[in-house]
Amino acid sequence: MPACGRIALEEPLGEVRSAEEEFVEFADAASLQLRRTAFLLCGNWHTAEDLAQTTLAKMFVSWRKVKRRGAEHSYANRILVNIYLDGKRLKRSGEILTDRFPDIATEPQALETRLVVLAALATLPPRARAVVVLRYWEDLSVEQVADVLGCSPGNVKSHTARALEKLRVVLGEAMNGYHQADRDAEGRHEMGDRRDG
Amino acid sequence: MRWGIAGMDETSLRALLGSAVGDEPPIEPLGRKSLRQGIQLRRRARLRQAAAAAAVIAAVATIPAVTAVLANRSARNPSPHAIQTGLAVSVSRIGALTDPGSTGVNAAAFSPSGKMLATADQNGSAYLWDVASHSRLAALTDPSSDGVHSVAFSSNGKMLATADHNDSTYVWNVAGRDLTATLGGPNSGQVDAAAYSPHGKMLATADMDGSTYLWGPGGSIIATLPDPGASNVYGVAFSPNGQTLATADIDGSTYLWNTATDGRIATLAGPSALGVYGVAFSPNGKILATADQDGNTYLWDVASRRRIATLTDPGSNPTVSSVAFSPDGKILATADLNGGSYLWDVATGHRIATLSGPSPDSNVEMSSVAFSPNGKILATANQDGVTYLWSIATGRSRR
Repeated sequence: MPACGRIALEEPLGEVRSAEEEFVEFADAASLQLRRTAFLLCGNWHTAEDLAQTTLAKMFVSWRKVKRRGAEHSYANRILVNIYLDGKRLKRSGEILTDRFPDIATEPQALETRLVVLAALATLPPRARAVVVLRYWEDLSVEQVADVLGCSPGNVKSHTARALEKLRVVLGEAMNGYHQADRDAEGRHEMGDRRDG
Repeated sequence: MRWGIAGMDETSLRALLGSAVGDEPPIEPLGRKSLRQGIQLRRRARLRQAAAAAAVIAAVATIPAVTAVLANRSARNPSPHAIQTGLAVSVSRIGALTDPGSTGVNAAAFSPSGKMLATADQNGSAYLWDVASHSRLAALTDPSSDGVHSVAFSSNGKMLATADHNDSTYVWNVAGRDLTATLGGPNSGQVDAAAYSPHGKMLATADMDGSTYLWGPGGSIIATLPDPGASNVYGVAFSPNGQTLATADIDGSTYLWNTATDGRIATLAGPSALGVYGVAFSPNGKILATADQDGNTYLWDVASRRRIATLTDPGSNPTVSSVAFSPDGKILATADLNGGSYLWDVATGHRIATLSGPSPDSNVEMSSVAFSPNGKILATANQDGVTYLWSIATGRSRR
């Protein structure tokens, strides 16, 4: 029977401490990007932070194994996406489409783009959303995404194609609407005009 | 317009995602906080492991005859391909079945007679093969062809169910190769797994909508088993007597259901809370094996619901994708997403063979393992489109 794990006292204390320090260093460095990825998945900074923290905590459980294998970031993505997909199943009726408007003044155009993109992402089914975020935010290859999601590369490709098509339609409509509203209001449409003019 | 319908390419999508995170609030680095949470998780996992270890001792004590025989046989001459323990097994590859135009084989299943093998391909077709001649007999292509996730023969071998990515399960008449029924779940999630009950009266399908459906012979839903976590169900298996159904869940748990009352009777919580990808009952129904994303295969005592053994996949960062018991219940075969497949001695928990694919370093995901009904052939299905057949011969190790 393979060993069922050692008891804490058997571990040399020095090694434990340095493993913990190593972990904290990794977790500190990874937290920013992990929270951003989580945000694109869930659309809400508060939940994103929870997702990132839970992901890191789960990594700590098997930290030495993870560290030895040297693929911390892909392991983090895999755990994050799994927790996200689980959560989607748990709370699928109560989805939050976008964050609240920030209190601080933001350039209106940037704010609108942000909200439109988040709303568009929210129209995707959870797995498709994960594929888009991993492919175009984390810049993973088709094979790497398949590995994270535990499905075949073919599955990733079909998800990607369908998601892009949907985003094209949703974003296209939304952007057209925004730019039209902008023009009507005060004629400020610098981003829209950059390419046209 | 910059983001017109035609204008949004992959590059601008990258930029858009970047702009979406543009207003991020400040963050305190999560190192210390996640360490505290992680220590708690680890402590809980250890407590569960300690309880499981106690259960192993209890379980081993109840099967003295088997353990006595096996304990006397030490592991000598371990080699990467056949580590000798109590149970000796010799494995050789006898065939390779390549799905035409494959985009990955997701599952394989032998017919009850053992003469045919069905493969489920991501390209949207299921294929029937003659096991003896290795020739392809038929392609079953469902109407919307969106990737077949799972195949299951009915107990009399006359029907084949194919579970599709497109949200339906198709039932085929094996002799006529024709589609006889289309089973669409009410919520139209992709179907990840299908299994016929041993007596052929029911078909269970695992739907991505978070439910497992039981279908009657007429093609109507006779029960809906709601996933407690409403997560994806990746695997379903009936107990040999048909009274219990096990569902493998992405939330890391395996659920047991009473198929007569449709009630959930147990939750087998895996230690890692990573997803369970496959599930199989031993032929006597006493042991349940679960394939876990954490790289372990867990054996559970079905009666006591306790975890009695952990089989650790030796691969690098493995995810166990599929498990299958040999018909005599002595061997468990596992497949992982690194392309590794292993045979384990169920009585001792020792790994007794490694099945090397043609390119063991290629990391071709292995999606499925299946034993032939006589236990002499093992099929391993790969994401490179090839299903390998292996001859399995067992004996007692002698020196």
